[in-house]
Amino acid sequence: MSRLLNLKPLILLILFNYVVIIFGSYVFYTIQVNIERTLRALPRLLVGFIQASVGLLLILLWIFVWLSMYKHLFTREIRKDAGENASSNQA
Amino acid sequence: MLEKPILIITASTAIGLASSMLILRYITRSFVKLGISGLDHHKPGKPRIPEMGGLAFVIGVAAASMPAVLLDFHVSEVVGMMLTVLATGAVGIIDDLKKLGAVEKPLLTAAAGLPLILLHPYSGKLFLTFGIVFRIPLIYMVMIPGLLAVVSNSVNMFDTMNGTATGSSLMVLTTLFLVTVLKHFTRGGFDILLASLLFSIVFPPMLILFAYNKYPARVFVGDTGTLSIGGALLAFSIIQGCEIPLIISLLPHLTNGFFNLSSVGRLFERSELKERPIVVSEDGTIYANRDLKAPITLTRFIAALGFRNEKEIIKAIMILCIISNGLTILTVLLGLW
Repeated sequence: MSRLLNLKPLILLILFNYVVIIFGSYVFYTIQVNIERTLRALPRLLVGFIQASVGLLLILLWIFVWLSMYKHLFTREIRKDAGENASSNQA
Repeated sequence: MLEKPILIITASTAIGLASSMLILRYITRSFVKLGISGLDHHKPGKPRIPEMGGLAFVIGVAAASMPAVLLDFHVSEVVGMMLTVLATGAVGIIDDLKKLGAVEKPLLTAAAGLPLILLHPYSGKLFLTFGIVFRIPLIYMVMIPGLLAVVSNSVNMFDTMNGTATGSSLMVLTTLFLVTVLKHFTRGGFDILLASLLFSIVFPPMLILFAYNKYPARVFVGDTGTLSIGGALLAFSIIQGCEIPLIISLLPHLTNGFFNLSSVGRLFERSELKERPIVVSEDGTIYANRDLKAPITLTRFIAALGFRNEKEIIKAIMILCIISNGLTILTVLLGLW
């Protein structure tokens, strides 16, 4: 059980991505439908371009948050690990 | 009415088990003598282990597909899956024998998606969560090579310790099969006979490969094994229309692959790396490399969390896979997908 708790940062990352996949696709769909409804008067090609750009932006935002979280959690753990090793070497 | 499918499924299971077992016995006896071997760097003494055990998986899947092809049962689906495994396996064989470049490998694995596109054993619909369905036949067709490159290479990058790629892929395949069964009994619409047939073709060779590859490994699967396993997983999910469950189940693989690439900043081959993600001492103790230039792999992260030897790290990786596969099943049980 204590071993499982050690994996907390990685479990957190998996849960974050899980929530994004489950609810993100619904949010993604809702945004796309609303863009289409709001911009109905504009040419079809332009609406498609806006939808694709917004979709890409959302995906990039997800990747950015995922990357930042991973780097932050990893840096924290590697510092902690280095500190533990240094103190065990001193002892 | 059910006699023919049951006969084919039984024959496929038996042929897949027997053929992959025979080939693996040959590989373990002969490949070290033939010079097709590698060192197990994570163990004290660094023993020499035969490579390219994945050949048994590729041949096992091809042999197990024969009963369905000969008896004309779901031919396009079975041939689509078989050719995807053969094509990704061929890329793996080339890579194992004559190292492919960092860009060539994903490009060739993407090209291995052609059989699936040409045989078209899928609906062309993308089933998202909360019952949202995108009907995108053309975009879906274009997505197949990209998805194949991502999934195959993610499984390939996950092969860092004994049995991690094969064990986790066994879990993913079983989860995808359970998802199909659950969907069939809760909402219908999923062809359970087709799912059972594809499962009976892929599962037995993968199980035998895992038995030989698990800690302490008697054989390394090589790129032949990892790329073809990735091909089989993707083909199964595309034919069954369960791409979202595949993505959730593969979250540890995707996280590992994605951060490998982002920390190095480009596509790369393991042999190109100057800084290894982990440091292995003489007695087999594993430490996370503290050099900032070293790639941030899942193994390095787990080592930084205090898991100090190969066995512990393998267990940690398997726990993460159990969690992600559990989430997949939970999603279906809760009716979210």
